[in-house]
Amino acid sequence: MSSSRKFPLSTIPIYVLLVIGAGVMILPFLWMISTSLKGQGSMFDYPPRLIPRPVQWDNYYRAWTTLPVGLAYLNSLKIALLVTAGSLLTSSMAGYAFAKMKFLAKQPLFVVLLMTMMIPGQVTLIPMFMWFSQINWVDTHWPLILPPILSNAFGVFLLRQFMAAIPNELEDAGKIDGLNPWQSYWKIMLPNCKPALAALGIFTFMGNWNNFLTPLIYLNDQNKFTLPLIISSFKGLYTTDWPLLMAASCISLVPVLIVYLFAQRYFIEGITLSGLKG
Amino acid sequence: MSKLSLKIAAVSLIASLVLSGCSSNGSSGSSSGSSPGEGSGEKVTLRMSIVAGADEMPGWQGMVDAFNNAHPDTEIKLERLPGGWGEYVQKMTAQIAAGDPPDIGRLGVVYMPMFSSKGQLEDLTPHLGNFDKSQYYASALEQYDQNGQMFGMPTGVYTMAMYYNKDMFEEAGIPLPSSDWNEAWTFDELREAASKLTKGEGPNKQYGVYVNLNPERAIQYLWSNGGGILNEDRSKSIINAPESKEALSYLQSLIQDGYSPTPADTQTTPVDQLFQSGKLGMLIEGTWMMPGFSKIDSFEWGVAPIPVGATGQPATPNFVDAYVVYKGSKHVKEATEALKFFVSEEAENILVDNNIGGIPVLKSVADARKVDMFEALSLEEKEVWFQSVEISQALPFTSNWQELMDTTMKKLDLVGFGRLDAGQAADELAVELDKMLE
Amino acid sequence: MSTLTRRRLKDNAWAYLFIAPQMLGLILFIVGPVLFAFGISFMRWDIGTSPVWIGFANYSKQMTDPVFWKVLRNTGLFALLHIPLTVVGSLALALLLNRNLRGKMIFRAVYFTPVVTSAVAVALVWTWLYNPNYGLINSALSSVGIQGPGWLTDMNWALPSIVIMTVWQALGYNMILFLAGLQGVPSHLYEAAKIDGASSWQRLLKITLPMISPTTFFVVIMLLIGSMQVFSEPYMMTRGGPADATNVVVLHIFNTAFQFFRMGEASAISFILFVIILVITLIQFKFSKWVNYDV
Repeated sequence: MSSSRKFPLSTIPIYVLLVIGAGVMILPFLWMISTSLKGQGSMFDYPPRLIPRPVQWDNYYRAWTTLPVGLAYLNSLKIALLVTAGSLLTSSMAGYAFAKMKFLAKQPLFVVLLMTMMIPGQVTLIPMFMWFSQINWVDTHWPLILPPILSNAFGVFLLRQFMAAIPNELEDAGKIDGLNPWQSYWKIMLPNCKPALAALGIFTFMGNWNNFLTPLIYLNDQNKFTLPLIISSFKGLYTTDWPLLMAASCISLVPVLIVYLFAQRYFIEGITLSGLKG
Repeated sequence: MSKLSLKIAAVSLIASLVLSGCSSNGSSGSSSGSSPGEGSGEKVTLRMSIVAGADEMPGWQGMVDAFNNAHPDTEIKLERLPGGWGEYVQKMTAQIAAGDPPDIGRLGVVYMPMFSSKGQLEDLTPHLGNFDKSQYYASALEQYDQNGQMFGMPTGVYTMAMYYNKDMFEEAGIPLPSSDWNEAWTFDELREAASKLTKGEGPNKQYGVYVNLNPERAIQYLWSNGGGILNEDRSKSIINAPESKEALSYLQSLIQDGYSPTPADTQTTPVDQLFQSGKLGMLIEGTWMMPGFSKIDSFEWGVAPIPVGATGQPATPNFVDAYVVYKGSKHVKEATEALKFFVSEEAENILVDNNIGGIPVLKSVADARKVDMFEALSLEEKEVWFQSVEISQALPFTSNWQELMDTTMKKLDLVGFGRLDAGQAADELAVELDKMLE
Repeated sequence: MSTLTRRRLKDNAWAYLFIAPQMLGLILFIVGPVLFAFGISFMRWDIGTSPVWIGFANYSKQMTDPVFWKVLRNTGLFALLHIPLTVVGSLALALLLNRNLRGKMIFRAVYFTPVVTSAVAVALVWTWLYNPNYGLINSALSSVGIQGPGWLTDMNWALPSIVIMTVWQALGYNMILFLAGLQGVPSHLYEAAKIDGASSWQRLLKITLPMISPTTFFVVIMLLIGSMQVFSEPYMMTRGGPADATNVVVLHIFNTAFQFFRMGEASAISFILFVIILVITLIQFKFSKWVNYDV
């Protein structure tokens, strides 16, 4: 009877639901992969065919060789990794202060931080560009790296919420041991926020990896282009080579999946709040 | 300027000082990134920014290389923006606002009036020198050469004509249309052919013709029926004139009778794909489809004049993108020189070699290279394109053209979906357009 | 007394040290451009010519502009549908996938795929699903005898169609946030409740939901801020059509700024939107007693 314990009957409806949902979720993803292996003519066939016939692996070779994809890959990797590491640090620091510390003008500053997310980027695009142009940052990677590191209200808010939920007893125990605020942030808070840091890490990496408009506006030199710009290059003004475009999109997906798999292990099991008295 | 704007200026100034202080640790000097080539003998570098498909790049790069080879004291750096016109305009706008635009650009025809009327382009006239305008197609040059000012050089002429599937015509027993614009089909002939070509149901339905209600793609029907969108001096709309209404109703009826795919269908399958997969008999579209259609090998296709309305006068719009010099360029003189080179015999030939840019604006090149252009077509059919340049007209662009089109599209959307009668839509539109033209 | 003030000063210093990088970013990259945009909202400016002061004209013009009210209504409706559906859906998903199910890792990955799929592919597949004549959705509906609507091409269904698609895409994203929140619930609480004989339903209501309320609050606020600024889906799929049925505030701002070159007006609309979002957010904070912090 041990098998029925592992797979109780009551979970069958849940599985059915999950499987149907999964089908709906993954369809465009499968379509993307399938199109990346099709010939150009067969993409609008009806009824649509999920298994390409014949399979054109050649698309991947063409996508990799027709444009400087490799260079763009390195550029994107550099930017996304720097931003992810940097903004995890700065936003967890600020999140900690807003969650656990008392200081002057705390509420107003927090509201101001939230306010920065409420103004549509369309309207600050031009003044922002004028700014960066004045300090000679146009056609460099700086506008893609520093602003997202130093201004990540989303991350601050997210980590503030998580840290606020962590019991104060933990910190108090540390204070008794003589930890200063930096040490209790680094040794107690951060290890207990791993799931949230992992989530923020995925989102930050992905957001900056896929960012299209900012690099488009700021970069002129093709050697500095990021991957989304190169992928978009496969689109023509009048007609588009869809299989090539999708092959390039799939190539660009690999690091995101790796980061996701890497971060996923932090969701496997609940962290145990070490040092907490039962 | 008012107090507030002064305040803003002050705040920006302080902030920019702070910022430039911060940045100067890495790079030396903060302001003069691209200082003009002072004194003679120094090489001038020009930035040229264009939006183009990857397949077009060898042609544009080839043209720029030719210029650089012929001008040792000037170097053009070609920057390609990956994306569409929307993003291109966004980027150019930001750069112009920051006072650091590229020197040269290629600007879509629909944006030209807006950019020139809002002072974002340099007038080329002072630097033209010995430029012989008579060698160019007047229909291409004149739209950028008005009131003694010249804001752009034409890159090449695109017009519209009717692509058709010869196999489908033969199967339905329809005689092939003439390639002479003076013998173009009438609206009735188009309807009859469309009805014969339409068959089947559902996803595999074969459509006779595609009616595009985008005003920039439909205006020729209004013109050849004696109507239009705006009057001669572009001060009033004439979309509610009886002739215009009649043409619009005719188009709506083609959709309602099921001869044309609806906007819902073309949302799913782009219309050029519909034609390429042999599910569409006739497609009235631009020269820019030629490279894509040249790859069709599953059926025979041809090009014919666009059917004409009551006046019997053939009509087709032309689309002439422009090389421009953006306001704020520090090298207007050199940039104008480059533009003159881009419309020279040498440059135009390079574009033809690479199969981009449409029909050359230089008549001599257009004539000499007829054999090499539009290779998918017979000699007779090629004349459809060359003849179309002569009869083509520019759209009635205004400085707020995008807004006019936005409003018009919204209304004609409803006509396409059959939710609004074409005549009524025209009446309502006329009121709205007139208000915007005031 | 003096040690107490010194102590407070020291606390303040530590706190400011922690928020210093983010505040620096705020000052360097945000304040200037926002003030500039705010100033421009009182001017007529088309980039090429110098700006002209026109007072509140850009603002007052909106009050009588039917398009402005239309896009505001559409945006509000979008948020009203998008937020609850996403919150409930992604929370349910996270709860399911936080259980000891076989293959939960695979499910989690699969439900995350919409977030990573290329936006172009998503838009294309959904327009195909939505095709009124032979799209998958209407084919399925007609097989059970229901005549499906025109979806993206129907003026009444276009906005709900966009909502369905965006919810589909947001589920995996917010599921991740809820999953992260669920990991923070100490397991000893559940064990204690089990010993007390609480049913799983009671445990959900009494332990899980209160314990993850900070996450829920975060998700709601972020969805509010995001959905009031929805842009790319309508931009890619319908361009705001048919006949403005899916035109939303930020799309309208984009067109006003970069298609019609009325920067002042675009700024004014942006700040009206800003005030609306701010007010709703502050109200949410005011009524956030249900959120369980340990401060």
